[in-house]
Amino acid sequence: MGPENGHPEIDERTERQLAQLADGSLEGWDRAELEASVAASPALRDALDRQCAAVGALRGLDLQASPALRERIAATSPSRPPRRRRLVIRSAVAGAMAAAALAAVLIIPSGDGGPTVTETARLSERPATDPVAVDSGNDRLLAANVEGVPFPNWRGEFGWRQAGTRADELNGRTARTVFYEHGGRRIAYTIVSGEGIPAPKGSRPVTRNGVHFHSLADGGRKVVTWWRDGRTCVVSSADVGGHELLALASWKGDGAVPF
Amino acid sequence: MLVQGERRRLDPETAGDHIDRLFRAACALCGSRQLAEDLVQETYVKVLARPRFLRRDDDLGYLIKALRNTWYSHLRNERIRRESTSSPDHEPDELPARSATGDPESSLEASAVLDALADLPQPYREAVAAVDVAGLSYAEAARALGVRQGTIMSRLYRGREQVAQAVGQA
Repeated sequence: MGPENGHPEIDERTERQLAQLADGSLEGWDRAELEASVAASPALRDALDRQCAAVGALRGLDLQASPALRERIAATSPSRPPRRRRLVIRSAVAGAMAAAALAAVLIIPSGDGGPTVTETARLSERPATDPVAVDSGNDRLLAANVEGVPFPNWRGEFGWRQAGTRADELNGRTARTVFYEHGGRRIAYTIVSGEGIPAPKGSRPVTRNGVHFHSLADGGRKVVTWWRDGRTCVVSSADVGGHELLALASWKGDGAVPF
Repeated sequence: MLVQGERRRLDPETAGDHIDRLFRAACALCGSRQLAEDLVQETYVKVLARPRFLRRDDDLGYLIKALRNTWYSHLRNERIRRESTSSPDHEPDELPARSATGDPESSLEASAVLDALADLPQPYREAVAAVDVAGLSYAEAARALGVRQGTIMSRLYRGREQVAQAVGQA
């Protein structure tokens, strides 16, 4: 470091060697030579002491990933399929069949798997049909849910008030939508019953507040989708940007909003 | 062991073995435990989204490089968000948390070290995070960060120097 830091000038080669000496990666003649220099120079000894102190503090950092993070990453990791040798032709046939099945799924998005996220997001264009109240037992929730997954009350934290709800049936699934309004802007929040719906291909994965989301644009509408307790949630708006949607969607209300 | 020029597929199952070291490196980069979790998860989601082929037995180095890219994306998005938002009441939420202070799970000592790391210039912080926090060798860190090994050593020296001074004063 230079004299401007209160330490005498040490040339760059010596700096590098001191870094190596401090973490034990300097060996041989270079090490012996530097150790002799350090023994003869209080300035070098001080510099080495600071390097060692920093190495000790940095390598002793007691930080571990939380069990929740491990679980989320384990859920991300695909299970490794058993490795078997197959004839190329069998693989090709299997690949073609898989591609055909995938194409069928893509061409016919609705069916046993329920609606697509995009279909669900388009419910935002429909009007509310019923009022929705705040949960009498928890003011961070609304008195509306799908299979036990409640809608959040964003009014206290963000100023977004609930402006009504509607229920639809999409491909055999119940989809309840709550509309929120704030400053002339509108957001639709839909929860779909049944098993989680995969995120659309091409959507952007993003993590906020420990929750894994996918965001996409559908026409002029921003859409964010994720799962809560295994149920698909979709928030969408033509008036609100993706960052604000993510901030609202990831709000946990100090644990009141279950994910 | 790989022969030079040979490529190996990153094993999705063993990639998970590096979560702790990646998490520590993320904490060192961003200074916030919560944001570090988000960065690590997002890194794994991206890396495991499709097969990855490595030229070396250097899974952790590859993951650190991916983590750094995720961190840069986060910084870019936050900058765009700040520039496009005029409302001052959004500002505190948009800035990356610099410190672990207040995080009950972090010890005071860890908080002091993370505070010191947060004050380092970005190149020094990255070198320290890669070598001293994540445990990469100089050569692995040089590949992950795209600089020469000598540069890593110089940045490491200067980064440690500043950390030692900051922690010593804390």
